[in-house]
Amino acid sequence: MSRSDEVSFLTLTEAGRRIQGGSLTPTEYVETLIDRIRRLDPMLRCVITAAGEAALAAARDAESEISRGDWRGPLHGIPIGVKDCIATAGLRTTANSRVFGDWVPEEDAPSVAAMRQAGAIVLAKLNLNEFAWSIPGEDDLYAPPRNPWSPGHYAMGSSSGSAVAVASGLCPAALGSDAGGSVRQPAANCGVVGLKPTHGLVSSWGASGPPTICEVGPIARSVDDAALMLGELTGGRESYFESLDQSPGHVRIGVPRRHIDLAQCDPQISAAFADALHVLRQLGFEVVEVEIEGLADAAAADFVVLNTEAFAAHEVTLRTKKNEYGQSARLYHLQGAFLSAADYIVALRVGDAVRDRVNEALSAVDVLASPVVPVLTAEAARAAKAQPHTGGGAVFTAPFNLTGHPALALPCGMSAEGIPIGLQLVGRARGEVDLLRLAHAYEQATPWHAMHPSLDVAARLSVER
Amino acid sequence: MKLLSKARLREMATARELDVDEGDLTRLLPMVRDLLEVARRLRTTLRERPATQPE
Repeated sequence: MSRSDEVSFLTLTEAGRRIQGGSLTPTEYVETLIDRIRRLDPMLRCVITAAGEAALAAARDAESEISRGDWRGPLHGIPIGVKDCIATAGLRTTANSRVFGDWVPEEDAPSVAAMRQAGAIVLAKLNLNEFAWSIPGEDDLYAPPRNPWSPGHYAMGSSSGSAVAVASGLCPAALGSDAGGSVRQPAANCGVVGLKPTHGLVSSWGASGPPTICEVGPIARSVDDAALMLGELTGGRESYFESLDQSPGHVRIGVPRRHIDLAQCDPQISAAFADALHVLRQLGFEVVEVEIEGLADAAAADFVVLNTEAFAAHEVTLRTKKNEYGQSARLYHLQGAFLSAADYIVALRVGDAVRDRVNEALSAVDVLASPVVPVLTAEAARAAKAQPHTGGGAVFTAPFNLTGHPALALPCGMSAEGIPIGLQLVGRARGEVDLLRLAHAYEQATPWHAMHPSLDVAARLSVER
Repeated sequence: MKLLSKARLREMATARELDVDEGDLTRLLPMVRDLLEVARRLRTTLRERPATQPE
């Protein structure tokens, strides 16, 4: 492996150690990744705006600070990506829409500000479904990212660019946003870790998402890295990363079997999930089945809330900038206009009821486990959305947006076609420490997180076509 | 529940002062039908509220 490839696939934690120790400089790191973006992104299509000179200037500043002894912590001098619906001061934020095509925010979203405060460098703004709520297509302002494991498929969304960039070694970690599974699904589909924090733990202001259900969360190559980012996103109030040194202890894992069976998962996903449960049992954890009524209803209700809040946020621009929306995004954002206030309130009450039931289940078990998505590819997920408001591909993820519980996706297998498969773990509200510890234990016992796609071959084939 | 017709959808769009043409209405119709059916089903769900019991 070349020095460039080795640097490109460093975990954030290891890169931080090297920068602190002086064997890697922020400038070399940023230059390496800019070169990689230049070589691979024409095939991957995950970068909307590369920060280029600004990132290099920030890297030089970080280098000066560190050489003066002003090391801020493990994220100092680390380049990260940011989903392009999350505001970045001085850097174009398009949400992949012509409506926002030239918008340069004056302020960072709090999540971005927290990353910069920790010393991280914004390297690139990353592709997404338009406004994170549309069916992506080739006519979008920026065409959809390809799955680096299988470039003939799109990557699942909506934080598709964030997951593709991290999986492909274009940045060690990225911020995504998740209102129905948009961090966890692309993470699972690209073989990386994605965390949707407890509702309200991380500010989602400035992320263009429906505020009742949308969370900003990290996408990274390991549970360690996700924990490190979460610590900074929450202002360092909790030592998520440091807590991983401790054993998770005796953990009781609940499997909502009936809900999973009703989703009729792809057989390869069912097999990978069964294998994951086997590994968890071998690690000494107890796995039991639980019955939680209403999870599918919560998924559907999440989309009622999403549609209502999406229309409310876009009502004015849907009139004033109608033709600047892509067709899918415009219709997706219009449909909430036909729901009533009572529909919205009922959906929230369904969330309250299911939250109570999930809390009750989580008093008997410590964590819930399920697949992340019932299908293998973005195209199959789209077909599952033939009725787009009933959960479809989001049947396992969306319930926990509405209930607000933290949920994490991590790789647990690979399909015969070579597409990653993910495991979802759901914890108690504000129970991220326990959730991350269990995920870390699983990750340490399995090989999936250490695998990377063979991108140079894929890029060459793409060019040769 | 009566199935939403395109004419009724057009009326609703007009009442909400939405700028939609016939093509939009055709594409929106199945989406809105589904959404309203989900909303109706959720009302029933909320009335039932079955309990949760870990096995």
